[in-house]
Amino acid sequence: MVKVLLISAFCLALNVLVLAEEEAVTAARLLIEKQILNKYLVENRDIVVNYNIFNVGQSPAIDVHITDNSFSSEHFDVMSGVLKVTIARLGPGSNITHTSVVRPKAGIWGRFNFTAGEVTYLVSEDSKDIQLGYTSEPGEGFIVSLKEFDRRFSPHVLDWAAFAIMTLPSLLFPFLLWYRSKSKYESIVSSKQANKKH
Amino acid sequence: MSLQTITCVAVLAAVVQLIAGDCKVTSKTYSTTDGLVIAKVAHIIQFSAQCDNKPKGLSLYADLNGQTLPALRSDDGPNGQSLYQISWTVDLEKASSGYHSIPIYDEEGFAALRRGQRAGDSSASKALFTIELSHSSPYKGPVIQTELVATIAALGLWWTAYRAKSRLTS
Repeated sequence: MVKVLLISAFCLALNVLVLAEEEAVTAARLLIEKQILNKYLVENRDIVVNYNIFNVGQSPAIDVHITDNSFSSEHFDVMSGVLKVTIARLGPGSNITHTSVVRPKAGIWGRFNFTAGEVTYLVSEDSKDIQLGYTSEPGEGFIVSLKEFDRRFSPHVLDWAAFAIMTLPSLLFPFLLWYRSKSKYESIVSSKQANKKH
Repeated sequence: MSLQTITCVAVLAAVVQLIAGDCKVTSKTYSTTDGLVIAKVAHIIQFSAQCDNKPKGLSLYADLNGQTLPALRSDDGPNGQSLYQISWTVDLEKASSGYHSIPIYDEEGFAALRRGQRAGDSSASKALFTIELSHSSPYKGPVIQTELVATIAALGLWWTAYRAKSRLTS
């Protein structure tokens, strides 16, 4: 009798476990990739932040709220796009992309850790539990100061103009000497020829 | 400094007031033009739409040359109205200046559009309104490098002097 009870209890527990697993598989699951689409991170220049949102579950994700608080307003200006978005419904197996552009303020350069944003959503159409998740973390980056960046990448027009002005004396002085003697010689030769003709 | 002015000029903060159909739309567009720093060009359109006979929290979809762009909502509007955002990125090598006229549909309009496209007749659905975006190509550096200009000028100067000298000594 006890054995039968034990076995039936075990089977019930197994069933419940399998059911729970099934429910987990059919729930919505959001994977969000946060990317920084920049070649260089430069002070006071655009940084493009891209979020790829994938629903890898088998139910639609309802009322998705994505918030990114990692760009504080004392260090970054939001040039365009919003850092708090809502998606009413994301179907199973589908994806959405969201982009925003931020700019480090003048004077903000150095190491910066790009941390994850947060996401909350309901895992299926009739669920009331809010699922909390995080986006991926791009990791640590180095925001280069504008002075360093210009040193490498600006066309240096003023510097070249200054160089041209500085080389001018060493070119102009011999040229003027030569030109003066040439014009004097030519005037002597032409006056001699004029005298010969007479 | 000139780069800053180029970027400022290229920022298209066009606040367009459109009255298309029954919808009042204000939109703001932004395209990144700093090609030295970014890896992909981002185009972002933020708009708010108030349609007379439609509910407030409407789902909107954009159709960009066959690509579906669902409009994401944010509630950060100044008067509590919903702001929508549409954004996409383009590879830097393929980016150029351009003009896009993007139709925005609601759910039924978009479903009708896709049905029409599958059936081969894409004129069945009518957009709620259209948003225009025109952008310049990203700045990838000066057309001629200043070092090249300096080298050519120096070589030209040398060549003039050499010719004068050889004319004298010949």
